[in-house]
Amino acid sequence: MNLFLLYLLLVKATLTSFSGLTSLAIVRQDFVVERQLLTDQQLTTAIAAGRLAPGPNGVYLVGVGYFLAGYPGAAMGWLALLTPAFLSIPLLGWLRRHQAHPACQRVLDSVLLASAGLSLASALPLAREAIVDARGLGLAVAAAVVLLRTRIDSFWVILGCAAIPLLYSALI
Amino acid sequence: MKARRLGALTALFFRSGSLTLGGGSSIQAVLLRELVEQRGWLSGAEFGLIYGLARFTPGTNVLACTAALGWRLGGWAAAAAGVVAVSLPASLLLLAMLDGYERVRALEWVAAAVGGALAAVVALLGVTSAKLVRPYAVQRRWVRIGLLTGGAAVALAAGWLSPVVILVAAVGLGLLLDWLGVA
Repeated sequence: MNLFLLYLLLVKATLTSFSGLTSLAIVRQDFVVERQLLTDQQLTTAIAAGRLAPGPNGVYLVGVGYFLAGYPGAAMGWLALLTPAFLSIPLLGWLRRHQAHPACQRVLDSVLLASAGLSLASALPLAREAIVDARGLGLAVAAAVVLLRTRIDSFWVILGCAAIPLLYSALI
Repeated sequence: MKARRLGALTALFFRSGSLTLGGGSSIQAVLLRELVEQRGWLSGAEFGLIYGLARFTPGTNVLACTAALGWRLGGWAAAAAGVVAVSLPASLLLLAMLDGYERVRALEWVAAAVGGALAAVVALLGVTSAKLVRPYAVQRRWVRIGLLTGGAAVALAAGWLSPVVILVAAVGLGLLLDWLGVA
């Protein structure tokens, strides 16, 4: 497949979506349904591997590019993932010039409060996966206490919570 | 000084992109803790502004958030370095995993470690939400918190609306509350 066309199709998907996995419908339509260059199984594998890897969920596009055109295709997927991110910079520049305005401040207050709700809701699917027994609940509560009460780097908290069940499964 | 900050920022973005499971929200929660609470390079309000703005930017939210944070703290070079640092490790790891995905996932010790890390990420997201809301709680703006934060959480968790529509609706509801004189 032509790499530039691949980039254009993938960037169309990222530019018309507003979070990591919402580009999925467009990617499936373009590559699975219309062009039949990708199978549903390959698409599912790319998404699932992306969920297991750290980093943004949208990284599944790298896997899509890889299935379509090998490593050069993966590079196109990665570029398509990055391209829209830079649109936030002119938006931020504009907002910073106007944020002192009371009307703008009220709008930003609403966005911030709703963002807190969105962050909370995004924890729920992860909680269903991680807190399935007393051990998972205990780890989550312990991590919350450490994060609230100490200034320990959050990376250590995450690594510590990964290491505890790992040690437990190695010892039992 | 500029070069030192660029290096420190890139290292932070690299660590958050390569060590944080759970997608963009968890990476942004790590960045809030590191940039606002640990290093004091940004105020909570400014981080909140960038966090909200990223939701309105097309594409992957956390990359938009990273680009804006990098630009704010170190200009275009930091924005570009940050976006690469957050996304490259995950991309390379994903490529390494694609062929053996089912085999890796079936390993018991991998599942145990991922489960533990996800439990910490759940806690991190909960704590982040609490910290974003705290300034409004101190001012006892309970109606606004209940309707905007609670409403957004319920609408997204129930799958009623997309995040962008929720944010637009929150802006409208916030303006209505102002007009009604609700604190």
